[in-house]
Amino acid sequence: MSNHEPQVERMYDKGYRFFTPGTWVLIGLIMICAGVAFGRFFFGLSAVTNLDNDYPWGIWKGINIATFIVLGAAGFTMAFIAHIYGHHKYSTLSRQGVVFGLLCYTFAPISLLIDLGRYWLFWHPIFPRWWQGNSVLFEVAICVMLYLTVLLIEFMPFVIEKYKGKVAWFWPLSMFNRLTEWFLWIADFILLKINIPIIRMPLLAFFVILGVVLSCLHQSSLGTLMVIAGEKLHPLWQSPMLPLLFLMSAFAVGFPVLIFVSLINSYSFGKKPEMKILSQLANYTPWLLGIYFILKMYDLNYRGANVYLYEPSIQKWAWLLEVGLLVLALLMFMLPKVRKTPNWLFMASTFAMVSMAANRQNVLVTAYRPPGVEHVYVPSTAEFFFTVGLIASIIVFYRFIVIYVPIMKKGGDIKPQPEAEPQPEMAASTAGGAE
Amino acid sequence: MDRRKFLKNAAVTGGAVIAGSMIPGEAHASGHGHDPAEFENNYAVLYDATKCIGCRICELACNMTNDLDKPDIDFKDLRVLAKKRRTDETTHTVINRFYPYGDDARMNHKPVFLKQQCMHCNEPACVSACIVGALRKTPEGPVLYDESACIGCRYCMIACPFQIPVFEFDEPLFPVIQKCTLCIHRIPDKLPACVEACPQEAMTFGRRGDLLKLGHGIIEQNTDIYETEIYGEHTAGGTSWLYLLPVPPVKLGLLVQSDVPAGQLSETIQHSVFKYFIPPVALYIFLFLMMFRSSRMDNKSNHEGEEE
Ligand code: SF4
Ligand code: SF4
Ligand code: SF4
Repeated sequence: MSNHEPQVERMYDKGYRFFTPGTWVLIGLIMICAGVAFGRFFFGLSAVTNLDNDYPWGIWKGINIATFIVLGAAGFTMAFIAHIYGHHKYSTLSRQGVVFGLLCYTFAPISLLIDLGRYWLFWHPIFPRWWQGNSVLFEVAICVMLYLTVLLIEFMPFVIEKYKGKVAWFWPLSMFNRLTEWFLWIADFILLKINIPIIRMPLLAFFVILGVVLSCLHQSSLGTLMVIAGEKLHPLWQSPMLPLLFLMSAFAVGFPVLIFVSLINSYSFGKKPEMKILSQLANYTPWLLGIYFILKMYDLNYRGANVYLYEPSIQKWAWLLEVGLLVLALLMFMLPKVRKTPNWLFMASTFAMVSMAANRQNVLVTAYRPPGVEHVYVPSTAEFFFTVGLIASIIVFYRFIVIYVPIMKKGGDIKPQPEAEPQPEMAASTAGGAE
Repeated sequence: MDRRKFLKNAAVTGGAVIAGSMIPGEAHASGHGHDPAEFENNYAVLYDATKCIGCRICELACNMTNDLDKPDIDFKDLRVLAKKRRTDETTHTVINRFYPYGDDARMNHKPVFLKQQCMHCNEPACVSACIVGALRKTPEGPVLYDESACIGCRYCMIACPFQIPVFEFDEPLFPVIQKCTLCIHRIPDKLPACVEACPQEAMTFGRRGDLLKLGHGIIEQNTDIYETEIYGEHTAGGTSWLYLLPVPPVKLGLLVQSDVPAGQLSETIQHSVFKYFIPPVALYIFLFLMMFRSSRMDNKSNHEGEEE
């Protein structure tokens, strides 16, 4: 693998700095999010959320967890195509996928921590004493936890590449310089330097495969999660095929997410969109989206659940919105013109992402309507802003990593680079990415 | 369309599709398929809806024996019956009033009351769901909750088909799941509080096997009064609370109709995917071979960037 490492650079060297007015706005949103967390920790869930005994799960599960995780599929789908299938031309994009996935998979558990009633016992599922093999949630939790570790491992080489031998934290973290250096050295040795004989691959390769396996497992289990709700879940979604549908949609949305992220990167760092490679990636997407769509329709008709499309309900409209966006994205991706034009491609990818997000939110929240319950759950403002804050966190951290860790392709600049201000290098924070 | 039928169909076919796609052959790997005889000796309660007069004394008794919060409206106030209620922090059992006869003059528009609490399912969905095994089915019958294990994820509430578990959403630090314990702290010396308090003696406490016999006996002698089936004998895989009903269960808001335990399908799917870890390991090996092949091809075709 290492012999295919792409030509990359960090944005810091191009004169970009972390703090911009935009960053400050996002940090403002994160502060609001922290405020909500504060409210929850001191006054309980009912103080900030609209959850009650009838609707125990809300958007913090539907969006902050299920949606973040499906969008995080960008990491494993790219790792698969670049490193396992062996299309090394996607290596740079795969880096962006790993970083984006890492952030999604970091903030989903953070949100869970705030959502858990007895969060100080969150570590229970890790220890065999509390293992419960029948619980789908247990399986999801374990796989997500392991996969987060794998993502961190996959992220290490990018940091090693730039900072090994050059760690220079700012004060007071500078006292950890030696320690960080050691850590990077050991990680480098274990992951990249040891070449396993005969197959001649570094240990890292095995983690990459593990990441794909774990992803397949928990992406599908996330679908099994709501199967147990049985008739409490609206029949437009409730299906024993849910795990397969979830897995397929994760496959399908991985590339659109990457296209979306890559285009935003190019726009915001004044680079030409990497259209050549993105179009190639986009070529797979209509197939994947198409298979997902056909499966979904087949499942719906097979169960005879299409009759519920003629009954009035909120769920019906949620379903139509989700599937409408899916069809729109599918049709757009089928047009060669769309796949070749950055703006169209951006739009198509956005639709695909929103459709998957809507699907996750629908299955976990909208479709859940227990019998005999008259009121409906609508997220509170605080819940909403908490979610917004988490999304802002992903963006801010992403920017931070792009600036300090080499994950962007070299060259392709169109704008004159901003003047490198004489600002003390925050190399420190860089190594911060290491942990 | 009959939702129950459709779900069952779907369950069988879809489950088979998934299991089949993951592993060839056998689809059933879960610990299900219990023999009903296993539950014969479980503690159980037989509740006769025709005797219940909706006085709410059982609610009060439950509140007192479990030391629960005081409700805003006193238990003596029967006006609350106008609205459908569910179990909450103040009582782990509720009485709801139904008018199943509608305008039927012969029945005098008579209301029928129904007591609800945890059914203590034989194969409880909440137990199947709980991420840390904080809920468990005891060999004596009651489904019990262990607060020291619970992480407060509320998945049990999603899973329970009867909408029973209650969570303290207003507790910032130590919220717990609450539900009926079948008064495990009182039995077998004393009867469950609600059973003991009932002025109508609408409930009989005993062993599940005996109560089923008793119930069927009552039904046989009064075929004109009761439905022929005992709700809970097979419902959701069988439960420890057994209901003698004068009208079909749906008319009393008992929407759970399936005899399949709610946790069965997801357990089957889950165990098929993880059977002896074969599917994940097979996937791993497959991906490894793929990677190996592609790296070999790179080495041969002298790709750009090659070092060796
Ligand atoms: S009624 Fe609900 S809470 Fe009670 S045992 Fe059954 S599934 Fe669990
Ligand atoms: S809330 Fe507690 S009892 Fe319920 S599923 Fe979660 S850990 Fe188990
Ligand atoms: S058995 Fe005990 S805990 Fe259960 S409803 Fe009756 S009084 Fe309440």
